[in-house]
Amino acid sequence: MKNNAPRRLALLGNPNVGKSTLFNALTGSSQYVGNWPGVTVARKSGRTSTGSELVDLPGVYSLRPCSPEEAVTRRFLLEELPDGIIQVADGSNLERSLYLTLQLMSLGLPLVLAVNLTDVLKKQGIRLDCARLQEELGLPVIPISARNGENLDVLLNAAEQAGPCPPPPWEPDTARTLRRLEALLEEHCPFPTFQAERLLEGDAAQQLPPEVRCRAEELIRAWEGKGDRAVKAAEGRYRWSEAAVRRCLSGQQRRERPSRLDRLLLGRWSAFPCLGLALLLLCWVTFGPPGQTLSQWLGALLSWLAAPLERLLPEGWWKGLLLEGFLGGLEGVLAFLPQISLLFLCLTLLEDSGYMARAALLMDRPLGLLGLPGKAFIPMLMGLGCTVPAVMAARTLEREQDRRVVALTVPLIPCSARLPVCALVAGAYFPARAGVVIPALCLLGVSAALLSGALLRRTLFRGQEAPFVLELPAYRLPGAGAVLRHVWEKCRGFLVKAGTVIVAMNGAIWLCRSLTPALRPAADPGGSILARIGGQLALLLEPLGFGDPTAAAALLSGLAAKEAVAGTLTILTGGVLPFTPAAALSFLVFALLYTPCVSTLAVLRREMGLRWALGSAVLSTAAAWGSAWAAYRLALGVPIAPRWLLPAAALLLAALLLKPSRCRHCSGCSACQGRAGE
Amino acid sequence: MTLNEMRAGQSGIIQEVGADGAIRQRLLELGVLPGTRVELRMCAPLGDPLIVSLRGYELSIRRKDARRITVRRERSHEK
Repeated sequence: MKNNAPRRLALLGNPNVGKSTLFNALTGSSQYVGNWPGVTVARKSGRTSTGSELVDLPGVYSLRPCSPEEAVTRRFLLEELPDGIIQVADGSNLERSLYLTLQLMSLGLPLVLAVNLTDVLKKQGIRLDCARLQEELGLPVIPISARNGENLDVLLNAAEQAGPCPPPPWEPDTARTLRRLEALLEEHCPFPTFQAERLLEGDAAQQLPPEVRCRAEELIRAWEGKGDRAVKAAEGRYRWSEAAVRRCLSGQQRRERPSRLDRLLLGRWSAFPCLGLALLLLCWVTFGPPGQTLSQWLGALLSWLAAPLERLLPEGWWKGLLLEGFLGGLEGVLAFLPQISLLFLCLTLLEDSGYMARAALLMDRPLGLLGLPGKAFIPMLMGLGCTVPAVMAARTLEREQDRRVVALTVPLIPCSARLPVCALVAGAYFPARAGVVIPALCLLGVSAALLSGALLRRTLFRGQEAPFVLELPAYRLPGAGAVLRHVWEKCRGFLVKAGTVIVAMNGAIWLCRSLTPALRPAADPGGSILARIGGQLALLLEPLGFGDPTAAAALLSGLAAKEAVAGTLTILTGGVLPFTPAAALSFLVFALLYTPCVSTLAVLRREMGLRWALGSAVLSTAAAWGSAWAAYRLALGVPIAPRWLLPAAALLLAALLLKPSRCRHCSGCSACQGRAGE
Repeated sequence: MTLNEMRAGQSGIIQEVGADGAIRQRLLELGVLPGTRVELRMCAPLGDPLIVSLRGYELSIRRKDARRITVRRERSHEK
């Protein structure tokens, strides 16, 4: 079956082997990455220069998934049957890559091994005999350098012409057992070799008739002897890989490099100061002078561009709609583009350099106090940027309860979209202290998230302690191209949102403001549609000090996108905010914590179901209402509760927090496992 | 002895991997197998997790899981 027809190729490999770099290099500018928040799932696809479709799959160590993200990869291979697979292997860690190769071979699909980082190997004086490896594996092995674009056309060509790959090379006794298992399974499943290996490893995923199951069990028992089947299977694969690597790699290998950077960044005394410094730097760059200055420049540029329109357009009601509704709102949102791009730039740098994994490692102990694994730190940090990818990043956690807790609490972390309204209100009311008020609000959001995480883990989501096994990637200097590309993807997402949802929202709000319920131009703002709706909602907000129809309407518009709150507030009030200082503070607290936006709710629904998405909306709004009420009372100097109630509440909270987050009498009993999997 | 009892810089050969369920599976996939040589690189600042190196890369695991991995000390000939 050797032809050059366009094919559908899957791109996969261990995490961190340069898969995405290769994906970008192969698909170039012609990719149609639908990767902006909320549009697609965890896989991307693009078209190569030869017209084949390339699907970039989440990184895996094996075909036995430990997290839903990894399950995406296995499901794609088994259910969508790509015409070929390109496995990217890390040249400096070939043994582990070959372990995956051996598993992939059991699928029998056309397979090509791309050994990446050959340039790094060369620099280290290591020579890889690809021809020999190709001979031993029986499938094409192409040395490439994804970053420098070396040998990519050869790789594509090989992938498009590859035929079905041979069965994996097992030792004779294992091969014999596998052949018998295959014969047994042949009529029950589409990939007998693959399923036979799964059974051999003790992976009980496949549904089989009881008699087949019994017979298979007998065969495996006989093969496993006194050993352990999972260990024996893994050993078999690793033994082969070790031997192959020994034969094919020459030169000085496996240099034990003492990492001086790790000694600083993970050192006993320096680690947490470094982490704190990194986070402070991130906040300073984004919210401090650099971000603000760029923001002001862009704002000035936009109003300069809009000025001629004002003069040129003829008078009429639609001039108001265009200028005040669409343009005014758009300007308000676009002015935050610099800050958002800076934030994503920082996050990408942290991730690409390999520091993010170290941060997760450092935070494992502190987050463990809350009952969460260190890896939960990554979605939480991403939550500062945008909640949508952060909720999706929760998939990388292995356990269901952790994923749910993180997905439910991340929306409380102040995302960058909530920045405009904070900057607007804080700037208007506390101009001298805006630099204190905004970080304090962020801190409030983060502590609300951490606290609710700890509480959820101890009430609704109790269970086993989360596992933590994490590969530490070698430090790498992030490539400028890759970083910029990533930042651009995120910014494009923001721009698309600003250009569609937010503009439409602003227009609709402007119309609601200028029309009466009978669809006539409103003579005074009090009679408009918006004032009516806002007036109803305002009753609920009265105890918080900002029972104002405009405030209610602004908050309502934030449901579509949080960026819109500031825009709506500006449009409705004409720039003169209706709050007292105490009410302004209360409004800020409420705006920071209340229900996540529609895109977040949609992602939550997809990840956890409608019930939890609604639960998240209700919970966060309740938390926002309570906190804003307390803040308003405190700001006015009115006691928030009878004096005896506060210590009682504190005691209750402490009692809850002291409760362990896992069952006391086990480290993995079947009862817990059952609950974890529900 | 077990992996968590080693000191930073010491190395040994894995004898047995005894963790539970998913963690064990993941460790085996990553090449933490009987007969593999591991070196304890360092401990995280709060004493947990540990950073070990094996097969030419670095892996971070919790002390609690390291306790289930038995190793035989290797005479260190490096230092």
